[in-house]
Amino acid sequence: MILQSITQEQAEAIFREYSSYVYRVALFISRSSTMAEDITQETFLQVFRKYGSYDATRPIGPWLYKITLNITRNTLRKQKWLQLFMEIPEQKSTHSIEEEVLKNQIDQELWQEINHLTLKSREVIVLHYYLGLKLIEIAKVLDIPLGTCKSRLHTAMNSLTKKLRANDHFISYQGGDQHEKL
Amino acid sequence: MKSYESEIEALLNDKLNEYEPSVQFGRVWSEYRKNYMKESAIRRLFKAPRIAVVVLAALLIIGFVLKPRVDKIDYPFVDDPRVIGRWQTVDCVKTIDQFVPGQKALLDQLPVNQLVFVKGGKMLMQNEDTNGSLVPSVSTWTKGLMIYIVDKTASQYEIREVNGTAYMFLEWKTGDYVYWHRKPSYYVLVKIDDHDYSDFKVDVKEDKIDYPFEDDPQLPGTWQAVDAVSSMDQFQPMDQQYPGVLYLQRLDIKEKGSISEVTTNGQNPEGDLTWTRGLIISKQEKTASHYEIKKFGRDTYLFYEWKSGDYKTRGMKPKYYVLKRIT
Repeated sequence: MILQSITQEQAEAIFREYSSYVYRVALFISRSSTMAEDITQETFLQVFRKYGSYDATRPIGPWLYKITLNITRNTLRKQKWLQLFMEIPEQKSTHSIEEEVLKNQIDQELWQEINHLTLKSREVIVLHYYLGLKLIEIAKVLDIPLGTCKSRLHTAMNSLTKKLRANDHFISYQGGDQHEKL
Repeated sequence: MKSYESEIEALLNDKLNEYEPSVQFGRVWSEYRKNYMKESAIRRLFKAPRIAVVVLAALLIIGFVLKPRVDKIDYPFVDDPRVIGRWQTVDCVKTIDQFVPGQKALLDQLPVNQLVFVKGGKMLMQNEDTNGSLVPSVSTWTKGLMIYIVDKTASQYEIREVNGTAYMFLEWKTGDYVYWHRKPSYYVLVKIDDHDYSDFKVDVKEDKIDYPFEDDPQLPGTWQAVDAVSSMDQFQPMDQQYPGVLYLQRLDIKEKGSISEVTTNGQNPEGDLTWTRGLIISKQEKTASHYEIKKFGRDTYLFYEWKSGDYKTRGMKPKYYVLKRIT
């Protein structure tokens, strides 16, 4: 089978429309702007390369985000592997001052709790609430059954609700640094 | 839950839409053309190892740059009578000049409410976790510096008068400083007393430890530490919560109650730790830690209450080590 290669005009149109979203999703999941830049570049390289295998009768978004998430997961996996040898911290910015100087206390608590969710939960949250994908589309992007997808979203929402209710006196500037290391 | 949904949607849009990638189409397109369009079959054959080397080199460079930052911390003690006493935190600012008395730059509650500088270099602290009580801090001080041995940071402090009141500006070196090499922000504190806390007595918690041995056939074996979590339900087998190297590495649990542990300091001989059904007991520390064994998929995990100084002297809830059965 001969796959049709992408033209520069087609590539540019896709890049213009989706690059910001791809970057933001990668940034949200990886929590690293450096990684998000690399993931964005790698995503579009793959999109251009695999364009011939894309079914043009379907919306391109879910197909493109599936590539984004696969690359993000691989990048995070590589980073974790490297961490074993080089003591690179996991890129969790729970102490980021910028994040904490949000004006709205509820927003801040919510943002922190969203960032504390597991990787799988964050994937579902960003796809559903930021990219606006339907659950059936998310299931396809993540390659999971619809039931699993619903359950992941439900778990994430339950976890958020539980934590936010428990955090009547939520301290975002957690002082773990003051305590002994585990 | 409905209200959170709209909040989440609005928040994600608000937070994420601020960001734009710096990568340009032209760069990606030329990379694509270079790598995929003009690639000959022979070049494709050699592509994988070449990219692997480049990626590895890039990752090694990133790894080097992001290596945790460590300050010099072996300073001799030099007295500073001005700091002795109890200080209350009032704000946290990015730069000292940002501080305006009565106007908080950081609207959050700060994790540390009070710090006490004790004569001779010791420190006490009070925060939400300590239920309002003063507890010993692992930090120490010498003139001009607060030293935190765990992360190996030395934070400078400076006392300045603003509108007639003396404030302490203390560098606050969190993970942003250690791991991300960012400039530290400043805690702003005001002195609330000049007392000498040298004789401050700490309540040390001791558990009942004289339990008779009761067997638990599920427990003996070798368990490898994989995570540390605040509560058992936080644990996700494929998503490590604790960022960093775990102090406890392994437990070799023998039948009839003996245990030897391996930590980052090496192997501790059998003797101190023993077990009986449901409990791991430290005679030396006088702690009895609950344990629970749970299965996740095919793997079996041991949740072991970690009763460190945070529990014994700082009144905090113990955290859990999670260990995976390897034999």
